[in-house]
Amino acid sequence: MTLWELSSKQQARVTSIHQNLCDNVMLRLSEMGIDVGSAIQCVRKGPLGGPIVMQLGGSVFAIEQDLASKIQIEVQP
Amino acid sequence: MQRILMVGKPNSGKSLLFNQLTGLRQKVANYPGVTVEVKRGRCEEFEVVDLPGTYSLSGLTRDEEIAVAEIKRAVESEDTALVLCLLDATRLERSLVVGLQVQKLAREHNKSVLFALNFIDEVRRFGEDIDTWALSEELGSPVVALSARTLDGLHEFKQTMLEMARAPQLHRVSHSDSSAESTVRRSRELASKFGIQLDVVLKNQNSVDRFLLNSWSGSLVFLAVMFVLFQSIFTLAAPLMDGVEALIGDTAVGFAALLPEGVVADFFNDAIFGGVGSFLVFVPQIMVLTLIIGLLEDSGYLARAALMCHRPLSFVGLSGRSFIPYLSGHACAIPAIMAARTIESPHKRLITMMTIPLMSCSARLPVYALLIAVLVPANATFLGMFNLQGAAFFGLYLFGIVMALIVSQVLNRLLPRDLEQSDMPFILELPTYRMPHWKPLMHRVANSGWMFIKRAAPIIFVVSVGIWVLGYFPLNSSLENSWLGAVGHYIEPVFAPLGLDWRYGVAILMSFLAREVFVGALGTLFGMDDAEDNVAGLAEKVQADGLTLGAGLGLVLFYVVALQCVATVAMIRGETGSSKLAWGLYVAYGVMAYAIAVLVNVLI
Repeated sequence: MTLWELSSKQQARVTSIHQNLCDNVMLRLSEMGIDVGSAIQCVRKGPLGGPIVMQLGGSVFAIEQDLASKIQIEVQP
Repeated sequence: MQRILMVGKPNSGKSLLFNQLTGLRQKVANYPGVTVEVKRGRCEEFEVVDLPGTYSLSGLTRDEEIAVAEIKRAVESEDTALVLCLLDATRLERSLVVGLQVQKLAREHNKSVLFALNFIDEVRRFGEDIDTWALSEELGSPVVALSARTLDGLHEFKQTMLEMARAPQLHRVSHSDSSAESTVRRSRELASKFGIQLDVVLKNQNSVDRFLLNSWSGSLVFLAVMFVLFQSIFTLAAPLMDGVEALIGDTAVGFAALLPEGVVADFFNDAIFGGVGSFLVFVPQIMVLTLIIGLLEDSGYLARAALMCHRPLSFVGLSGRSFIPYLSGHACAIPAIMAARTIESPHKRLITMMTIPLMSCSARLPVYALLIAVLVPANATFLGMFNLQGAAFFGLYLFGIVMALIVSQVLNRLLPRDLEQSDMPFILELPTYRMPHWKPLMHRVANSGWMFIKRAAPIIFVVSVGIWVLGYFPLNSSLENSWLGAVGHYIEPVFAPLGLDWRYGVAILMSFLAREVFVGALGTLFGMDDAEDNVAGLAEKVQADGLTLGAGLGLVLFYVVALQCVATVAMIRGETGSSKLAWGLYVAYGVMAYAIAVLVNVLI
């Protein structure tokens, strides 16, 4: 499943990131701490398909659907 | 002079530390086309340079790329004695990423690095602390904990900084191992070793967000904030604007007394004090708006507002970050166009800049006030509770916003886009809620006023002088017989479909480069000298003259849409680097405004 489908308060681990993102975006994701294996927690989902708010590496970020649905995750209990 | 550079991620308290180190005197350099802003100030014998905040040394947007280039250039420079890296003690992992990248760069150029661990007061409030000694052992550069806000550790920090800057050769980076990937890995390692229990810090923030980002309570707060903001642009700024106006008036009177009557006196009175002076009136409003937006930004709310607006705005091809420029556009398009620089995608940024002129800026206010007074009875109510004139004002603002959204949607379909670049995704960090500190805010407010004057004044000056010449010559003629009047009569047929005669034509023509002159010009044409101060009197005259509802409504909608501001055109040209685009926009909005006015005149 993708990061976009994660529901509020759930924890997950990144399993893969879509390959056709351009290099700059890939690099930025990695600098944000989104790499294969990183732990992410969904803080809240925006209403009406608004950006998803998530917590990782001590920071809170919001990212939009296009990007979030390119990040594959597996839910952690 | 030897320099100390300040670098760090955004929201790491860089501005405040800079202010604490350098005091009141500082110079701000803006780079055209980008948000990149470099501040310079003095601390003892050194020049302190505050470089733009960035999350990484690999830029994502064009803005960031230029910021990064500037950082690299500064670090490489001969004059740089010390590189100061700000770390956010509550966000250690994120701030170490850019910190380690900068440290590596500094080491390559044989510069020494000092890490400032800011916000240590917040960490200590949670009953935790960070072992700076062990951290500096790991990093290979000294680390000093401080709080720029509570001034904890600031004195010691300053001593260390000066000592290092005076003898940089003694403090070279002892070791650092970082390739691009290992920087990220190492940041994570160090953060988990030295950082504090993160959940504690984020819990407060997330619980406030639960309220402020909620669909119901969040929207209510958002609307309330916007309401207060708009109220204060008008109420808080009004006395200040009156003050500036009075000051200019008094200066003009005093100045007139010094000059003999004649062309020169008229020139100073009408073209300089009347034309250029009338634009200085907007400076307080821009400063008030900057103050409120600054408060919202420094407190952390603005990021939430952008987040909430992202989805609705993306329906018309804009980004959540377009919200702030749109907001500022209601005071003046010039700072708004500058604010559009933070938009991540060049495509969205362009659309935002192109539609900002549709926001009802304060220069349109006198025009709205006059025409509403003419068209809407003063004590009529709407649904028995709202003042109809007030509702009409609101309606005009709304009309501008709706037009902007429609135009955005159309432009989004039409504009060619660079696929590589338009892909830039919306990524936004939600910073911790913090109490804004007055020092950086005050600098920002003063700077906004100054930048506005510097950017707009030369153009307004040229336009005022040009229009004055056309209206003044041939000598001793009334405005009707002047060159401008002649042009007005010549082009009268153009304004006939709008239901307007030559006097409106001249007033519109005069306001084509700066819309705020409309009321004054119309006043002169209706034989009044003080139309700006006596809008009600002019409104009566216009009413008695028989302006039809259709023509009046058409005229006011014309003013909502038309881009009658040469300073805005110049700004758009500067930001996009294309005068074809800027003047094309000017013509397009003019034609659109005209078409709407004709349509309204014909239909009503």
